[in-house]
Amino acid sequence: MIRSVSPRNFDWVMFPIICIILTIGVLFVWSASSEKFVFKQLVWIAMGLTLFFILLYFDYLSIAHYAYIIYACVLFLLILVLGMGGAVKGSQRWFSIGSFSVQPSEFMKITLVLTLARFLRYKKYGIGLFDIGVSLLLTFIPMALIVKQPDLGTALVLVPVLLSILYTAGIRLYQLFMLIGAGMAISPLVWMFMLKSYQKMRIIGFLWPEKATDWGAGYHRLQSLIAVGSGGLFGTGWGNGTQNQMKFLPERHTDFIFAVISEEWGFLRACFILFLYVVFITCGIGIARSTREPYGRLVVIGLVTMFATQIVVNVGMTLGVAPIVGITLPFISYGGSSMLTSFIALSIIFNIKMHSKIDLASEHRYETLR
Amino acid sequence: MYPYRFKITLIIFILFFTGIVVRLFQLQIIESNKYKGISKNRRIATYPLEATRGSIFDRNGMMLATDQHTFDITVRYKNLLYWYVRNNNAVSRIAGMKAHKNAKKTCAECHENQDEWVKKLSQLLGIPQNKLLSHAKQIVEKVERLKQNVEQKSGRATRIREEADYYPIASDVAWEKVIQIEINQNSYPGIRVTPRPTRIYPQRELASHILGYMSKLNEEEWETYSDKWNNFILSSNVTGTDTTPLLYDGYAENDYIGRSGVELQYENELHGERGKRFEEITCKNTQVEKVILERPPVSGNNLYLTIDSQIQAYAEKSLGKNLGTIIVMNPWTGEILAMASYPRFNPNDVNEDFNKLIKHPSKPFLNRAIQGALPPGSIFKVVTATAALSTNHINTQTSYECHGYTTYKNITFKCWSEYGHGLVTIQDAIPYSCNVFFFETAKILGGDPLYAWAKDFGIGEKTGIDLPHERSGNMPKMMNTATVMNVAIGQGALLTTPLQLCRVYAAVANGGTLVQPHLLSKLTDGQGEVVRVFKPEKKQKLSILPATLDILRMALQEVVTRGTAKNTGLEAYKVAGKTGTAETGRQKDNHAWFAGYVPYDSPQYCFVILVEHTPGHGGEIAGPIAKELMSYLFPELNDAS
Repeated sequence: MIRSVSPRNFDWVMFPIICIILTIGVLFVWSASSEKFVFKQLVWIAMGLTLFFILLYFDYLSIAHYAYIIYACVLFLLILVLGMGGAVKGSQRWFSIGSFSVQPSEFMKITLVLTLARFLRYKKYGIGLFDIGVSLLLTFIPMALIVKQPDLGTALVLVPVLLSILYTAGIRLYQLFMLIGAGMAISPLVWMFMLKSYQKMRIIGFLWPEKATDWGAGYHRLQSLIAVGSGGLFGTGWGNGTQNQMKFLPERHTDFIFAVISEEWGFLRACFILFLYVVFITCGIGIARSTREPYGRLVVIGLVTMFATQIVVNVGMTLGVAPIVGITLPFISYGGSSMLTSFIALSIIFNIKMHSKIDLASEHRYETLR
Repeated sequence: MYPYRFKITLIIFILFFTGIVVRLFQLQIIESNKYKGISKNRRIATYPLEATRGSIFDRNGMMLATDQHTFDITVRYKNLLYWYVRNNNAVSRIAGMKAHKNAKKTCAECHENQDEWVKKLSQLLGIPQNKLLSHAKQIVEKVERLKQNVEQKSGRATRIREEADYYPIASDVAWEKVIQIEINQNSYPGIRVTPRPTRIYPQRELASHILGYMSKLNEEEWETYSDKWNNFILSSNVTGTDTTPLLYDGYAENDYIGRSGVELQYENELHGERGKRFEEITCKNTQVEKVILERPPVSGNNLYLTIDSQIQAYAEKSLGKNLGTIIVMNPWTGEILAMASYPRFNPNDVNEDFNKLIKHPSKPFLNRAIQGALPPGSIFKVVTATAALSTNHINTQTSYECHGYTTYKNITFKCWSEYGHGLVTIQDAIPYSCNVFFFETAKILGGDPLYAWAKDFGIGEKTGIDLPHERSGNMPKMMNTATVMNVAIGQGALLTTPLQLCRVYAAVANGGTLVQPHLLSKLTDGQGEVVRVFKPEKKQKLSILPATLDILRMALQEVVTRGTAKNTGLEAYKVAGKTGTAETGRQKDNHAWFAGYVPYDSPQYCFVILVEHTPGHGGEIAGPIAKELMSYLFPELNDAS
């Protein structure tokens, strides 16, 4: 039986917020680059919205059946991209099908959420060591592949996602702390064997700026701080940022777009955008709370964590309080893969919300089927 | 489960956001003035640090091309601007500047002494002022246009980066004069000496077709290059974390780029990466406060070729002023030892003589060894013979009567000797280059086996040598017997490059392996560490029986002892080869060929000689050239001849 979607349950708070954020994003991509990119960005947004509404039609629970298969496929793509991916700036993240380039690491974020949720959804009566072990394995295999690409940022997003899903699925607190402790214990190993030298430099440069030898990152950080700082309370006005318009600021329309916003719009409006994001995340967690079906609940919490981590790390790195690891600001930064991923994630959240209040009977049926 | 955990998750998120807002408050409200000051007063000027292009050496380490440092004189933009204003009185923004209004002076008065540098410089260099400043107008107008655009977009006065740059006004300045400027820095305000590498080819014309030449990027190319570069940065921005390449420049406006030969083929390896220096400058005076960032340039890799410059020189000498080419190759490895083509050009002077060279009727830029596709004539008979012997259409006993011609469907096919060769077998047909034997063979052989064998030998396909613009020639599909007969003796629609034929004879010499001709021996980095050595991609063994090869080799030896190339004195050098005279269709206008290998008992060199558009026959024209080449290659055997 296909469960019907009720438009009444469409989230009329989140959707307008996303629309406002998208508009602001387009405005600042325009300010930071040229009309060419605005046009491309609009095309991506149109594609994303279409995808968003199409995906609403399907029942999210059907994804649960295929979660492991999707996971295997994306994992395979990750391995493939390591082997044959086009080298952009010396790293392998892409591979092209025709003129379209696919970036599996972006899709891995969503896939991991779907898979972990599928694995942990019925662990009502506590999570054992075995479950934790499998979850860790599910997370660290793709993470290792993504770090190898090397794409530190995307890999780092996976950790909070894992923790939040475990936490919501009912991990005991002492287990959680042990997990975090163990993570810290093995981090020297990761440092020694997984990270490339420039990635290490970047982290050193963040922790002890005076020791930084990788001045590329130091340059980014400095330019970003100058941009944000010179914004002041009201900003220099749209299209008037010195740092932005004179191209001092690197990666203006993608990773560092928040610096452009801060410079040109000032403290008050930057806070307004952060407020929009907070409302968005609060709504997301609200959806997770009101969803009684465990799979949906875990998926929503995972996706919301994904968004929150991206926002916090991206804004943090423009403000010089997080290492520069190349994470995009959802719905604002220029870029196709990131835009599509964000819309897919959003669509899944909406989907779960729209299904959550329909009938408990079918939820029960799904639970007993297992 | 634990409903409160949602609350805790939310609280954690909100805590993070609060932290961000606090940091934002700190930066934008508390420390704002500090950063506002920086963004207003700080200007970053960037200077490129030129990378040295890799040198090119031959197999023995003899230098064929290298970068020599010459000196350019560059001038600060402001100097040019003042000069421009004085001479044109046109830039409104200078005239209207506040400082001028306050001083109640006109622009010219204010900057009276600003043009001193032009006089001094023109005296020192001995170049008239007009010539020195011939590009100044263009530069100023370009920068001002750019500035206007930026200002229009931002809506207020802005200083753009180009204003802090230095622009070249004189190049290739002598060392003594450079020192003068460096010593008296104070009397040359705003003048800077910039070292710039220039490409020189110490051996001048030697191997010019292999080395190629370099020339300046034109505006259009530079735009596509720099556009590519920008796209490169932007496309990676989508996920970019690696900022390293961002700070490197690809090509700059006045860069030279390899246009042909290995200079083009290995452009990416030789080019190196330009470094960059960021300097922080305060706005009030142009004093450099401190160097904040510097990225040293990475010099290009050195290229070692398989060429032996000695043999190359011999080959060029032997070829003399004949329009044509000589290739000498190692038949076992495919290493090109020499590749001479005439007419040549001097890569040092290409840019001055370019128009003359490009319009020259004998096309000096053409590397005839790989870019000339010509009918091979009798040289091709080796392929026909291999095809016929391998498919058992003929054997050593097969003989045909040559009356000087043969007919097919009322068409007469002539042998080159009008009296005929009498009864010939394959053992005589190759030495005497009897066309009739091959006409008859072609009749029974048919088109398909010949086509297949020619393709196996790499005829009609690029050899894949590491030089740009190689031609593939043409191996026609033969539909009727008459065409097969023409192609069998190397005429008709068949077109081959000399290098393809060199490969065919190398295969005969080395026992049936089609080698990969190449020029790259190894690439080394600045420290002499080997970066890459040549690895053959394809080296295919042809399915020729040893017996067939023996027949061919014996016949090729006899070409020299009793055949078309006897009495040329090649016998003493143990040459095995085949002459060829390809007809162009016009009277007394042939291509003379000689291809083979030497010595025949243990082949060391494999060679092809081609002289285009000559009245004589293959043996007459190419034979003596081969003799001369051999006398250089084996001086110890000279007395014997």
